[in-house]
Amino acid sequence: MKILRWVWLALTLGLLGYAFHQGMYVAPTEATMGDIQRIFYYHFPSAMMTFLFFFISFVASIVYLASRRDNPQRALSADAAALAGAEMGVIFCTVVLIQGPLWARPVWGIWWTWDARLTTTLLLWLIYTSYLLLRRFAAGPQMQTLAAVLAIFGYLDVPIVYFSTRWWRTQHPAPVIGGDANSGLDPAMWPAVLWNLAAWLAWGIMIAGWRYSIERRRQIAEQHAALHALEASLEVTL
Amino acid sequence: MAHRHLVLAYTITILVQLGYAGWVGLQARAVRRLEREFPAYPALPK
Repeated sequence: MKILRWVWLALTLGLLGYAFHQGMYVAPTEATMGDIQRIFYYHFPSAMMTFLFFFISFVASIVYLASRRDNPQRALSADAAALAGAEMGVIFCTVVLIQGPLWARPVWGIWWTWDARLTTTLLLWLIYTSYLLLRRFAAGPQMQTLAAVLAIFGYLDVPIVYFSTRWWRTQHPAPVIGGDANSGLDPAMWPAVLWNLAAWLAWGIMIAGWRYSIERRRQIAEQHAALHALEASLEVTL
Repeated sequence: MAHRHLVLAYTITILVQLGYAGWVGLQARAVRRLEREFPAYPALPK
């Protein structure tokens, strides 16, 4: 198992390096924006990873709520997955929200505008940041249930973010991938997009998987700590 | 300006991701400490 982790790490770092090379040096320069368009090769994969990891958190939260009474071990496992997914999603969403303005300033002439895509993405980040703050600072048995409900409701913003450029007129460009007949990427740009998607997916799975295993170990260690405390209180009583 | 923003965006992306990985590493260390402090009860012999 340990060797698999090292192989995964090596593969991920190799993929990230190769994807960087593809995005920065191999993909052709875009005709109107020039080199700044190369931000796209990690802006787009980061946005896709945001959606993916929030989806994992969403599904795991449903599993938690469904199994918290009948199958506590499965519920704890789902709770750990929901936390790992939400943290990884917030990290990718943070990156998207930093890359966006850095791309917008030279192209649009402004850092930020309150259009539907940007505003709903910021809202998504705020919702899942609230989720993490709730988990960090709220105590008691209801915390995990409340967090799961928040993760499920928070996920409703993801389709709104995705379709915002189709539903409303936005400063953010209309979809380039999966858009209308006039949209699309130059075929020479596709390898850079796909390599970066694969690289950031491998990175996300690695870090979120690590975070999940740590959270599971923490849950088990806390159960042991509770048993030790019970034993100590019994010794005092007897 | 465009090149500076491109480099800055990539650098910040890497720093944020590595920063999170480092924070997860600190969590791993805290859990190891918790596991040492409260070891599992030994299972009953079969």
